Amino acid sequence: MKARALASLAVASMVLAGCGILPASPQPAPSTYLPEPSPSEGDTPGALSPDGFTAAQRMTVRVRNIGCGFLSTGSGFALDAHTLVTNRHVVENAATVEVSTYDGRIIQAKAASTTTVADIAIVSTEQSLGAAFAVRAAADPVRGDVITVVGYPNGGRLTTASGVVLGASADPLGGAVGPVLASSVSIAPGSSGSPAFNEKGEVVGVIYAKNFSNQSFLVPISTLNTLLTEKSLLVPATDSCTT
Amino acid sequence: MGGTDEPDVVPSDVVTESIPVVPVRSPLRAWRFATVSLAVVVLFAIGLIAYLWTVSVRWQEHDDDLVASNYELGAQIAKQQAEIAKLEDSNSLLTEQLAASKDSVLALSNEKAQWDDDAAFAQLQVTTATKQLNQAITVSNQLARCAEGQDQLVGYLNEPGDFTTQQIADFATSVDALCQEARQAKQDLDESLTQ
Repeated sequence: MKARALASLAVASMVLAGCGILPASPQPAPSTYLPEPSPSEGDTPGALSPDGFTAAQRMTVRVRNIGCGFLSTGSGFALDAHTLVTNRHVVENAATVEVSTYDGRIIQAKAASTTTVADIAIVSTEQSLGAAFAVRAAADPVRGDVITVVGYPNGGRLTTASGVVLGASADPLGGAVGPVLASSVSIAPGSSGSPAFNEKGEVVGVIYAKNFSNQSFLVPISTLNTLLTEKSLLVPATDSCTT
Repeated sequence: MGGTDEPDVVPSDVVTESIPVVPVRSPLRAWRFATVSLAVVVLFAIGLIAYLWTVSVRWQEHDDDLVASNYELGAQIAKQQAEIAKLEDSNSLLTEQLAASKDSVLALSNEKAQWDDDAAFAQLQVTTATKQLNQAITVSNQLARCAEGQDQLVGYLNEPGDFTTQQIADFATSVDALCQEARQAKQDLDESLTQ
């Protein structure tokens, strides 16, 4: 009897074990084999503009300084809808400051603030500058980083130029408190105030000078970030025609 | 075979160990067990075969569905590829048109900026010219008053009896101061015009 029970148990175990290796029925077929549409680059905010211009081109503006008996031009870029950054020397001695956008709109500047810490001016406007604004990098670029500068050299067409960061340097004009950055980007008068972008499209500096070796100099983004945090470092610019 | 020999026959009641009792198996029971076992095995095999048959049929149907879906998807892919090729052609054309449009926008924007610069510069020149014109009118008036004063002085000198020498000298001094102012104003105007 004992042997028979053991045999039955063994047979039952084998049957149960055998059930485990039996093939199963197929799963029900999916209703469709078509994949869900993935978001295209155009669906992400800021990836493409409605008119084909890049965000860098749309945020970069041409600055016209109409002084008392003189006229000069520079570049700048929008921080938000009513604030732009340019160089102090671009808006210096201005009676009127006008801003032109990439698509030809003219916007009057309302007020300007400058600082002695660096060649930076913050200009506010009544009208909106547009919908593309600068994303400021958290850290300064380092030697060898590729940068792209968008601006209006010689007061002409909106132009893009690339180069690399050559490293930190003392201010060749001697006005800046901290170090500035030298780069190999070729610029011209009128490029002053142009934003310099890294490969991620973040602003890493503001062009303000060049030397005879065709090297350009940037106010590093860390300086601009400090100025925007410490508002007390900015003072209102005065109208030169009243002085 | 002496008297001391042990007997050859052991009494039946002197048994040293018992013989185990083994039950005799009935051949009928064995056959019954075998039959039942075989029946169970056959039933199990029939069940297994039925299950495998069903599974096989289902896989076959699944396979047929997949083949049909593959043909359908293949047809869709071919159609989509043709559509993509067509759209790529359109995209290339539109990209070229967009690049041309962007170029035009930038060129027009630049032209507008230059015109605005010219207009602003012209306005500056108009302002400067207006300022210089006003300055010139002032100078002209001052020079006219100077000339008029000198004419009067010449008249007084030609008729010295009407005025005392002191009066004529005072008048000459005031005319001289007036003319000096006029000369200074003209000099300022000349400097302004040469800037």
